[in-house]
Amino acid sequence: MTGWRNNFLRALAERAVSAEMGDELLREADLEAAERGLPPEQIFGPATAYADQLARALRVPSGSPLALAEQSSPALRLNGISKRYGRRQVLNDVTLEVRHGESVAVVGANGSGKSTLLKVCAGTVKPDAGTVERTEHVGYVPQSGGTAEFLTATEHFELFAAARQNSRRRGRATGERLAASLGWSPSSEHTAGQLSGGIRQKLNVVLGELSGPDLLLLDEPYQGFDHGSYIDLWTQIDRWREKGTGVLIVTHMLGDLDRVDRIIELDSPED
Amino acid sequence: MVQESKRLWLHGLLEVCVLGLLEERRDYGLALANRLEDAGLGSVPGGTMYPALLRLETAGLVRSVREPSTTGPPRKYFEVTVEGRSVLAQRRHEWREFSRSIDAVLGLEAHT
Amino acid sequence: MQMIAIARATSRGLVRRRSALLLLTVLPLAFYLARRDVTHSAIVVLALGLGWAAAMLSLFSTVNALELDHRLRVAGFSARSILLGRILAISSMGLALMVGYLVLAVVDQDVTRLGGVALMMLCALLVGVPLGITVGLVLKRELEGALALIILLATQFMTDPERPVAHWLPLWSVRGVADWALDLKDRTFLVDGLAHAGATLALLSLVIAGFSALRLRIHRYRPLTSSWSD
Repeated sequence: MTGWRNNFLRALAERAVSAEMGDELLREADLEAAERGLPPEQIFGPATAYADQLARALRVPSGSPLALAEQSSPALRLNGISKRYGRRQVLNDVTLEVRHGESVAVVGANGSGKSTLLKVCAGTVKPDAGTVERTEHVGYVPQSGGTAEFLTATEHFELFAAARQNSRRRGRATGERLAASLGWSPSSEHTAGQLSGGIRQKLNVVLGELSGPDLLLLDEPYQGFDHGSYIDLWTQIDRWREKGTGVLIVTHMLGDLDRVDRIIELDSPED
Repeated sequence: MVQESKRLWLHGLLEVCVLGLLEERRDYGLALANRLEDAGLGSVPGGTMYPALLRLETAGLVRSVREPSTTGPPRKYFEVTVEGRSVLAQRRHEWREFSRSIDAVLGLEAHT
Repeated sequence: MQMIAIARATSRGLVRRRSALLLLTVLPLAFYLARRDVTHSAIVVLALGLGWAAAMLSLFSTVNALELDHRLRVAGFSARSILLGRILAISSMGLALMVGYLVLAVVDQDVTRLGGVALMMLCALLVGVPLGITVGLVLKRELEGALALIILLATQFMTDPERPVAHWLPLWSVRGVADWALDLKDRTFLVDGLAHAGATLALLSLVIAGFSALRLRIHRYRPLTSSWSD
């Protein structure tokens, strides 16, 4: 019984549930177990799974995402973007638009240039042809290389806060709040390299949204996410949409495509 | 077993069903699970029921009250809120339409 | 300020790598101890070792940050702040090492021109830091970069400084200034040494500036207004 209770409290804390709330939830679980005369494991199942469910239940915003305002202005516009690397034509005449408050998914086979497309949007890759129009304030969540191995999560928040002239304290506070939305409580002890893949990826996502950008570019953001975190991310994406942020997300998880407003498919590379 | 399809369907409808039960009568977790089982919907484990109740509470559709019980420790009762009733009415309407469509597709509708 | 934030983050990341830092600190000491009985040699290899350690430090710092730099740019950091912030952090660490070695040289050896020894070490730093960055930007990988540095620096050790080809090696200035500082030759040797350091620094800075400007460009886009602006 002691083991279950410890695991329960620990799992709740990891998911950014406050200590007070954690204690209350444990008290209720104990009362239930006492009343039924059964050990908690038998009533609720494994402590970690139960804690995960409760943590997410506490975060749920009711209602479906708001409908997009009819004529919101564009946050991103690509026109005729092409890019070739050596002999490979990676992007061929791609045209797309993402409006404020809209979420657009980019799908396509491997090698169809999805990551390159995002880099063109972010401005780190120059297209061979075509124009890019976008808001100045963009957040980018790359597929790799987005975090510094030897810095803690808190240090990341402080660093990225300075990008837009925000104080370290504000960066920390915002970072922790955004992390909580993804069900994660950042430790100031572990460096990014010591975090598990899913947690490190959550850090990656938080850094992209830290400054409250008008346009968010996400490149397969849920590497290493469990099902619960995946749900949390989509809830967060809905929150950004409500705030008027345009979201462009590269994804290969085709199951949840009904959660985005529009889907763009990139052609497979020519052989 | 046959229970698998029921379990999947109930997973999506659990919160609505619980809301319906609570509108009829306020109750506590274990009793709600028993009522669902009596209605033929199979047994819902505590690890599923309590998070569902918590979701309803977070969304403001139900509220919880601790009440002293005659047998043992105080029990947590759930009751539906005004907003919960209104959402339930909406869901009833949606379900009626939805189940009619399913009936038609499954060939259960009486042909006129 | 952006540059300070980058410097702070770079320092924090470097300080965490304790074993690496320890080994880098020991590197010049090992050279020194090998030649301790001959004052001239001891201090020269100490300074060369400092340059080598600084180059390694900046190589790894640069290579590790290659992908992150792109992201920092998109987040809003200027290319200048990224570059200068990193240089500031590494140079500060280098200076701290330098002070330590200076004290060692003065205490353990018979040194007349303390300022000269300081200048030798300063040359090592002024060349070593940009050298490591340059190798990192050009080769982009740790192993290849480390090998390139070893080739350059080991050759530096083994080439007779009198030979003309020695002047093409990056850390020659240390030996040049040593003629004035340790062998007590006349001023022209000091000037030659400093000039070499200056020229090498200038050349490396150009390469670094050029590479960074190209690499860290945010390509042109037409700005759209955010939904909340009028």
